[in-house]
Amino acid sequence: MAKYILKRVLMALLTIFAIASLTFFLMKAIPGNPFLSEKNPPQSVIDNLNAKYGLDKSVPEQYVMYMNNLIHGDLGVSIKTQKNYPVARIITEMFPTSAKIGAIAISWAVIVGVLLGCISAYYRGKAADSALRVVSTLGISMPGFVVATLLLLLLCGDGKPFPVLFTSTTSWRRYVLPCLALGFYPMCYIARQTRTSMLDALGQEYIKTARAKGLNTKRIVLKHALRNAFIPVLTYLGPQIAFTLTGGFVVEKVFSIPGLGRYFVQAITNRDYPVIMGTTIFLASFVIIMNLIVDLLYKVVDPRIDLTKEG
Amino acid sequence: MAEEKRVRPRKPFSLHLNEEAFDFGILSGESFAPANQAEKEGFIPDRAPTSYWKDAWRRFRKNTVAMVALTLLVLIILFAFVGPMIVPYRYDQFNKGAENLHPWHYSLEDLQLVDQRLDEAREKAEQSKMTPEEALAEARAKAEAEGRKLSLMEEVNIKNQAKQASVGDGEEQITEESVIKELGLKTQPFGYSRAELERKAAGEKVFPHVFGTDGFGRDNMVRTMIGARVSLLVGVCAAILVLIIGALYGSISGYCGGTVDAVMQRIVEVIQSVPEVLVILLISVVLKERFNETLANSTGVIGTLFHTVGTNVIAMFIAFGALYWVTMSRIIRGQILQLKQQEYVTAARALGARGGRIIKKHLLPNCVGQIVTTTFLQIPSAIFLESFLSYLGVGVDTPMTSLGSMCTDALGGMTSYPERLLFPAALLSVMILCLNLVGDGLRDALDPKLKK
Repeated sequence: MAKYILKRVLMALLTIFAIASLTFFLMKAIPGNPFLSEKNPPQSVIDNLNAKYGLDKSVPEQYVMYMNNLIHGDLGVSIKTQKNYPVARIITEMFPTSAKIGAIAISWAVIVGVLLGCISAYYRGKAADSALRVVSTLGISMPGFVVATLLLLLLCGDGKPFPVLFTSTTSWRRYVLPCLALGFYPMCYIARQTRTSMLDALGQEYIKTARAKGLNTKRIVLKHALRNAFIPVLTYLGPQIAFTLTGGFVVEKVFSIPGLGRYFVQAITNRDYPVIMGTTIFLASFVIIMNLIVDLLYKVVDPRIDLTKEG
Repeated sequence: MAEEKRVRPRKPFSLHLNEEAFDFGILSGESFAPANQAEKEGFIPDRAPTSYWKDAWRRFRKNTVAMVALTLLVLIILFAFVGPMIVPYRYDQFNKGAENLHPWHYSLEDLQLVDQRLDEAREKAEQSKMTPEEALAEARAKAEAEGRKLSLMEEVNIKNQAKQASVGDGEEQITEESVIKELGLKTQPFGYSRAELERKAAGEKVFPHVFGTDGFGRDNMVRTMIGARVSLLVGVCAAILVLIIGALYGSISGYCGGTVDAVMQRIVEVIQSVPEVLVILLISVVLKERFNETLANSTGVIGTLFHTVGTNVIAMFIAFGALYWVTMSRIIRGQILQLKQQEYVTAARALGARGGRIIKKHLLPNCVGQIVTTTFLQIPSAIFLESFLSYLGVGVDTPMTSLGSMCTDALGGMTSYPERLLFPAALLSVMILCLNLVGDGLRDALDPKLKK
């Protein structure tokens, strides 16, 4: 167990390192000096920045320096959107809003998705099952921005229940649509996966035993099958967290939410490279660590899984 | 299975289930003579053997959902590739005077009626209105008749009131919309501008703007067609790229085994745990800038290619190809590892088959289903990603368009022109849905073992 955890942690660190290196070399590939805007700043600023990031030194030396800065939490400063504002500070200020919306979205997606998956499996082949399958197949075919803009178009504005601008109110209402839009795809995905693993679980021997004991179907589904059907669903949680994070870019853009996602999109539009790089490293590390936690949790929850074998 | 469907050969080996058949004393020497021509022909099955693809197609045809999706997909492909040849507008053509058209119009007679009403209303307003000087003169005359003089303050007030009245009529403003509402005019499908309606009335043939036009007067239907075409092409090319990289990597890894496999699989694991969308976003942003810089003045083959396709799209391909091949390589590696061990491979080898024959006749047919299905299912995920990138402004360059960038462009005037968002968004969703359903159908048809 300890050996497995160690191996996974090392692997995760290696991945983060790989992404940071990739970021460095991509930054080198940008024509001109990525730290400077087109408007020529005073020579002293250029010199300072060059000295800070060692742009006058050789590439390997720069690489060491960059990594060193990274380890110390220095992700550089914004060059366009908020001039000379440290990227690390931007992230700590912006991320909580995004994380909050993401967490609510993922939570409702899991709860509703698992529930719908169970219903679908329970009524297999009936009208309810068909309807749910149509909805979930549609859901995984609709890009996030389509769902978000449709919700905005239909339910926001004057005389409609929800505000157009996230910042225009402080009521809980402003969270409803962004979370709904963001969780829709994961919900449909999880519903589909739950249905499959539920059907799988319902075909097992211990279900027959439970039936033979005379338990009613509802109890069998909710107590005996769900426990085992839920475990595979956990594996999909990792990728869904990553999806929710990137989906957040779109949702925050549509609903004008002052989160990290919208800031990231603005940085892309403005070609604010330090912000793009720093945010990518941060978000990638976040996803990798979440994946790691989910994976370890998965192995802990299901003791039957052999930890020495790669699944 | 194809073999089971074949009709068993009857003649030479048909067992006569009567007693004499087992009585070997009755068998004459003739029974052991070589088969004659007629008997040999009897060996040939009555029906031609079904090929793997024919069999798969037969299974696919039975799948109603997949067939409906396939039909829709064919229609979308026709819309995207043949459509632009039929519509006489180009995707980057500014139609002057036809800006901001809705996908509906009022007939020319109705419009003339509206104009007439507006003119009447304007005239009436003109008549009832007075210039500030006139109003002042009238007020003065009134005051004099009453035997008093207007103070300076009163004069200024009267002038101001008259001025305001002539600038705007306040709540009684008569607009085109209010007249249309008042007359209860009915809209007709498709967008035409006024000038186009007049040309049409003059007997000219004018192609309607079926989906309306955008703020530059560009025909939205042609743009949707071109956008769908770009999305489909991006999806197919990305899938092929993934197939090539994944197949090469996976087969090398699976074939070599041992240390090579172990190292290659660690690399795969690292790439797999990377959040792809994020890195693809990063790579395409940076690569695009790089390409723009280095290829700005190049005239070689690569330069021309980049200019025609667009640096953004190529950057997107590279980023996509660099990360999405992982799934494909894992599947192919798994297949090859598994198939190498199969008994029928050993049996074929024991019967003297060579490696090439084993691969061609036994290994490939057994994993081609999975390869085709996985490749096909890459198309919707590539389109999904492309639309996401285009929506964020990293996708295709203007004036070229894609469904994702059309949706972003529509965000600005969403409340007045919701159709600008709805058409591309609906087409995109239907396209991805159909591709997913056809992909699922393909999997069931090509790999019946996997079907649950």
